Amino acid sequence: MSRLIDKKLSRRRFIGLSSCTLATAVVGSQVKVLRALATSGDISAPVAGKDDSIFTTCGMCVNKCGVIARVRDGVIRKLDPNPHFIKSRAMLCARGNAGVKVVYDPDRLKYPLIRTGARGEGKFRKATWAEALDLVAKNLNTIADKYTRAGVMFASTEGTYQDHFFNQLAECFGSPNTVRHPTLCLSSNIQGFSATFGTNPTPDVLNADYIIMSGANRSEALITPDSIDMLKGDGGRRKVIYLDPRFTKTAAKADKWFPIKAGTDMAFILAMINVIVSEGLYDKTYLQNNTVGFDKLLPHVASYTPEWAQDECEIAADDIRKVAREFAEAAPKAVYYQGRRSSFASNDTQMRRAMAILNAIVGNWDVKGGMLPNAGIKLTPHDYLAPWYDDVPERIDAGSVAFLSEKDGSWPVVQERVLAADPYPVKGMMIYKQNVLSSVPDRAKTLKMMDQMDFICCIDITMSDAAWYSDVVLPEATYLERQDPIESLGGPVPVAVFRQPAIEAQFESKPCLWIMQELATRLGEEIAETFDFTMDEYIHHQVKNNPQILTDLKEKGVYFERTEPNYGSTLGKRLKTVSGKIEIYSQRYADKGLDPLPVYISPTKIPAGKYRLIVGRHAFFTHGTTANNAYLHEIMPENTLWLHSAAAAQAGLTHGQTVKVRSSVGEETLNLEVTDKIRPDCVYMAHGFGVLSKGLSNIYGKGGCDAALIETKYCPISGNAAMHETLVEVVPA
Amino acid sequence: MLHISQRQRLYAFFSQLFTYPDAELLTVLQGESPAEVGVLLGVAPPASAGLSLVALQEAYTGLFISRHGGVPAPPYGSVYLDDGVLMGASTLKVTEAYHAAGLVIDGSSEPADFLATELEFLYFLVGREEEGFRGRDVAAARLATSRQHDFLVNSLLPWLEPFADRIASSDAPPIYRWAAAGLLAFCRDEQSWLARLN
Ligand code: SF4
Repeated sequence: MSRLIDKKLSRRRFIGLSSCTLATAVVGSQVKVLRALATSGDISAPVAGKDDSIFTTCGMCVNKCGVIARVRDGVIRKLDPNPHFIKSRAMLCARGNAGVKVVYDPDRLKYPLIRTGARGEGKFRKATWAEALDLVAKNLNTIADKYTRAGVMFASTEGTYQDHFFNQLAECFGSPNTVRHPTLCLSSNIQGFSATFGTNPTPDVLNADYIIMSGANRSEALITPDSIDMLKGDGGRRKVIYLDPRFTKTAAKADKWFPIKAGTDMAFILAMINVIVSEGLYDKTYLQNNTVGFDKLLPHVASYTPEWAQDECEIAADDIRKVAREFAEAAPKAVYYQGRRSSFASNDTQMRRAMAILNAIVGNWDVKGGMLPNAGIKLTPHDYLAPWYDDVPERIDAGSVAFLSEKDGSWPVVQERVLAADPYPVKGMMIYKQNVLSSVPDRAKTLKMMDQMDFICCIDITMSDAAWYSDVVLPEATYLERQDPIESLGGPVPVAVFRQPAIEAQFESKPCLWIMQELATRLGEEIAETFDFTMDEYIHHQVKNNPQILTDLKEKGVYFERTEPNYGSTLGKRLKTVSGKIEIYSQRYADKGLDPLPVYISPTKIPAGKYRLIVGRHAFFTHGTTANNAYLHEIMPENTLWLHSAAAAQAGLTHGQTVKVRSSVGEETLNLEVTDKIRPDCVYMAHGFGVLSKGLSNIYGKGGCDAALIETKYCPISGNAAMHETLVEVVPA
Repeated sequence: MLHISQRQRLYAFFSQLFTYPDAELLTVLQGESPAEVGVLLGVAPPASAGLSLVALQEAYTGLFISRHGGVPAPPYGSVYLDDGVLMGASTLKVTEAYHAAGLVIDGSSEPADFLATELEFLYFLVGREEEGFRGRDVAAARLATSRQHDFLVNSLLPWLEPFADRIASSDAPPIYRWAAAGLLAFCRDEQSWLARLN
């Protein structure tokens, strides 16, 4: 028995842990982690941590609601809404409340991991930070030497407030290939509205009397304060018209729901414009003074009559007429709400243009209840000089779409071109909290793209699909454990927010800044120099010209300069468009060979036996990363496939039956939900479910992954993915 | 009945086995210790031939640290006692038990109710018991045994059972299955004689 524990080795390790020889004597040579309280009599060391209330910001979705983290005995017990936080009307949603589970999730990433088995086989070993970071730096340098610095792509989430540091590293490393979420989300909206107003404005939901929403499911895909404000209304005058192939929770709250045929929203909008201009329900002088191209709009929409639109959208011409008249009547306190995600169809930018034009002609720009320009809180930026490298080619997706964002790129194009090594190979991938395997359409293609990488590193808080396919996995501290820089949340009533750690980072997780600084040091002096600051210095620099921001953040958890929008601030001034006015007709588009006024294109006909796949968010889940949250999982353990009862009967399928959904690029298995809450020509599944590994018997088969089914299609103007153009068949599993 | 030194060594052995594997553990597993432990437990250990450090580390990582879709057997008490979370109310109780015995955690980023640390604590208490008997300080020895009993009953055994069950129904390699079942049997045995003693 004497060999049971090797005494010599154990003793050496213990001494390495503590220099307190007294403790050694007291505790015993084989005790490695427990240490004796000082025998000098000080046994008053606190048993547990302290009690505290910390102002911070929610990190569970894009909205960044104000939070007070209630800490008891050093443990976060509860998250409360910050009553000062005007943007979210002092509320936290189900996901926001469940944030505690993120920190105390036994499945959170705890230590750096290095892959030991084949990619995707799931074999990892624990590593020290030094070993893992050395390996990352070595691989980045090897790829840069072999393929130029553009050979490493950097995929990043947004809204962690530390994504700036990840993007800074990408820039200083010298890769043009950064790719971020907008082309999976809202880039067509930004493009279409900016082409018209010079900005993507915010609808004044709180004060609008008439709101039309196309597929913007605000009661489930939450956006603050809109999701709350849309239910309030001013003096009972509020009317919400909702268009969606699905009867969503928003449809339930709306005054009127139209089950529009998917992909035909533009026909509805153009017909509304047709009614408004042909019936003269607009202010001529206003349009003359503030817009360009209205004269061209009249002939353009002449054929887009409500009768024509009726056949396209399957909404009665009389209803379209009625909505158009009511909208014009309520104007300017009327908005056609553009929503956030605009990854529906490949003509999405032009559809958003049509929305913007409809808003413009009723004169709702920058007035109470209308479409408002955004403002921000002025912060002093952290300037750095990125090193210059010769021979780095331009972005891999350069020239692919009419208006490509230099920093965001276009995910669908990047995926295709990397896979084809066109025009050059990309062999390294740095991922910051973007679960590319569940968010980028055509998962099989993304997998192939990852398979051909020489090296993949993923920074995350959970073992996402993307992390699972990586070579090195680095654990980031969660949003409740980090000091994050100050961020200005733009809008008609802008606020500044930040995050303070409610507790120390658990296990060996580290904030992104620390990880970037450590990598920068390993990548070379020039890069390291750009990271030569502490978080504290960074924050103080941000508020150098307005220290009040930091004072308010510490005292109230939020900083703002006004509580009401500054209505009319842009009226009579130049807008950020080429002409300086609202551009109904876009010369800029014409110059690029694009339709200067939105031209309607009918969606592809759906052949018998097929359905259009539509996807969407859920109020309990944001993206893939929330699906593993046990609290939320309890409310919604899996996603289902919605199919209309008539379509189900025709196909001989029954409620609860397990079915296979098949597209040209993938097949998923999930349970069928037979419901009349969807049009018979569509099927729907919520985003964020469906795991990759069949070996994981305890979770495999719980729902399906939309990204596995969606084909790679995108808008040629913005590069935004088109997620509702995939047709699927449904068969018994 | 096991001798006091055997009990102490069993705790030390299991504490080391449920710590992230290193070269030292591999040496132990390839030596005679498992067979000796097997004799004490009455269940022979699986063959150690072919055990590699990397395979052990992979298995440990996939069982206890991180895995896609969740690790099958998180080695933390509160996961079983506090509704699936880390740092639950039961974790605080464990910290209090350490504190009452004059100990704090140092040199570990794991929560207090990490299995290896709880076993280390019991190892320490058995040491105290032994010191007490050796120095004829019966009160000290009794205090140490009653602490062991309370800790086993209140903190460790309530979750060791579901933990061992999860290992049994997971894809864990034989060494961890044997260790989890053996540890549970040993702790139950300890609890029952400590109950008689106290
Ligand atoms: S909407 Fe919910 S999840 Fe999103 S930031 Fe607000 S509280 Fe958090």
